[in-house]
This record gives sequence, structure tokens and C-alpha cells, in this order.
Amino acid sequence: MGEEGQRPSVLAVILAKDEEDRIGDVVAEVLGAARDLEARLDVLVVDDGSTDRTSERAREAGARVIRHCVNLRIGAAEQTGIIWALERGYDAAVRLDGDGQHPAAGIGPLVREILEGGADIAMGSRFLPPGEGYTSTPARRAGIALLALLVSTLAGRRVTDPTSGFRAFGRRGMRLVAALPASDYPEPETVIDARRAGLGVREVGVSFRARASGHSSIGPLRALYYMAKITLAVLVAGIRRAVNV
Amino acid sequence: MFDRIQIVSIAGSALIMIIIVELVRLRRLRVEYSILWLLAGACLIALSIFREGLDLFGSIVGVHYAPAAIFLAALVFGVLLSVHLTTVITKLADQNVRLAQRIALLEARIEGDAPIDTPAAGD
Repeated sequence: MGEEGQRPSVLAVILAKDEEDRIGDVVAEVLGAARDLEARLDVLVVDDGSTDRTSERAREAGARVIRHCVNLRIGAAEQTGIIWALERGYDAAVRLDGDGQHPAAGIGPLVREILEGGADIAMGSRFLPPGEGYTSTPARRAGIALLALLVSTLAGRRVTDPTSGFRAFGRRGMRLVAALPASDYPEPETVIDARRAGLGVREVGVSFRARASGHSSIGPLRALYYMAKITLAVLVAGIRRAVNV
Repeated sequence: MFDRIQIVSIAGSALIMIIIVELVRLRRLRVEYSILWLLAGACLIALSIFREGLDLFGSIVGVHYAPAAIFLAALVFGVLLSVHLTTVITKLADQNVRLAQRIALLEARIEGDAPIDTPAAGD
């Protein structure tokens, strides 16, 4: 793929666990986004050990499906999709969450930052225009702001939305994600790992949607653990052995 | 000759070492993980026989009551062993994830989703 005179190919990786009610609409929306993309867009759903009919619904909606037989958590699910894309020679991959919080309208800007802008990783930021900020609890916003400060400091550049899971990867970005051990909450770590590996990370303003169903992978009770784990993970990422990709 | 406590502790240490060797023989414990235990057992036997060694160890670390030095050493050993075990678990967990991902990727391939470029990091 990606030979002379051929359109570049993009894989949309949708991560889903127990989203049988939503996944069909999410897949349809992403397939619809293919129309205003210069690249060819394929859709892969990574079913991370669902106990409902998520895989079947995703297939019916026209997605290809890869299924973990046990729940491996979000970082590993993203990694599986990325490896799938690497093995099939896609020029770029864009990750979305299966609960519909990432509107397909953001795919175009993210993918263009990779294919035309030359970035290795493009992060969708809710805090850059035309993103509309984040309509969540003040506590969660404060947490994100704190992480943004920490990640910006360690990455040596301004990062406004380090926890964003709506992000796109070029070949080098994909190889980085495939090479590192999967993390529970991978997003802020990836930014640091990428910078240390010499990869180009850029942010692109996108809007998020409030969750229609399902539950955040981070409930209120786990928020404190999340903050502690992420803070430690980001600090460790700053001193850990870097990888070459 | 030996005090009763020396005989008891030598016997206890020997029993531990016999159990470890037996577990290795039955392939229920890997040789690399048995090394730590055998070393610990050997140290206990050595300290049981040469009581001056225990007193010397106590004076080196500044513990004047020699049996307390033994507890300290046992505690340090236990902590180090726990750290070692968590590194083993980390490795196992990472490998587990990789394996489950590989299975999922292979299943997709069996179901007809063949990769176009086969080499994983093919560029």
C-alpha cells in the first residue's frame, strides 16, 4: 500500500468493550467519515474481551473485527489495532473509543496532520480550537490541567490535552506503540516516550462528545489511583530506557 | 557440642533445603528461583553452626542482641524476594498480553483477514 500514484491508506481502530448498543452507530459514523478523506479508510474494531455481542454488531455494521479472548485493558487493545495496521502496511492509523465520545469529524484533521503535516503522532485536543473545551466535572478538568503541566514540562513543549485517546499515528508512531509494553492508561506516557524517541508529536483541536452509554474507564473512585499511576508513569517515562523506532 | 537451639535450627534449615531440592526435582520450582532459597538455607545453617558468625554479623550491623540480627536478615531477605517476585510477575504479565494479542491477530488471520505485507515491522 501507499505506492506511487495510489491513495494513502488509513486504518480507523475503534476500541470497544461491551458496547453492543453503540458500536454499530460508531462504526457507521466512522465509515461515513471516509467520504471526506483523500485517503482510503478501513475500519477495525478491537473487541477487548466483551461479554456481549459487540463483535457481531461491529461486523454487521461493516467493520473488520479482532477479538481479545480476555480483557487486556485499553493500552493493549490500542496496541493490537496498531500491530494489525503495521502488518497490513497502512500509512496511518487513527484510534477512537467505541463509546462514541470521539466524533468521526475529527478523523480528517488528525489524519491530515500525519499524512500531510508529517507528524508521527497527532493528538486530538479538546482545548485547542475548534475543540470546545471539556464538559466534565471541575475535579477531572483540574486533573487534566495538572497532567498537562507535568507532561508539558517533561516533553519540553506545550501539551494541552495529554489524556486524549483520540489520536492518529504514522508508521513511526505505530512502531513506537507496538514496541513498548502496553500500559493501562497509555496516552500521557506515549507523548513522553515519543519525544524521547525523537518522534514528532502534534496536537490538533477536536471536539469530544459526552458519553452516550457505557462507563468511563475511570470511575470517580478510581480517579485518585488514576492520577497517582499516571503521574508516576509519566515521571518514569522521563527516565526510562528509550526505544528506537 | 551443639546447643539444642542450634540442632533445631540446623534441622529446620536442612528441611527447607530438602523441600526446595524436592520441588526442583519434581519440576515444580525452576532452578533459577531455587538458588535464592538454597542460598538462604545455607546461610542459616552456617549461622547455626558458627554462632560467633551471628555475633559478628550483629556487631557489624550494630544490633547487640544477636537473634534480632537474624530477624533483620530474614526480613531483608523476604523484602528482596518480594521485589524479585514482582519483577517476575511484571515479565509474565507483559508476555501474557503479547500472547493474547498474538492469538487475536492469528484468529483474525484464520478467519480470512490476511495481512498484505507479512513482516511485522516491515519497513
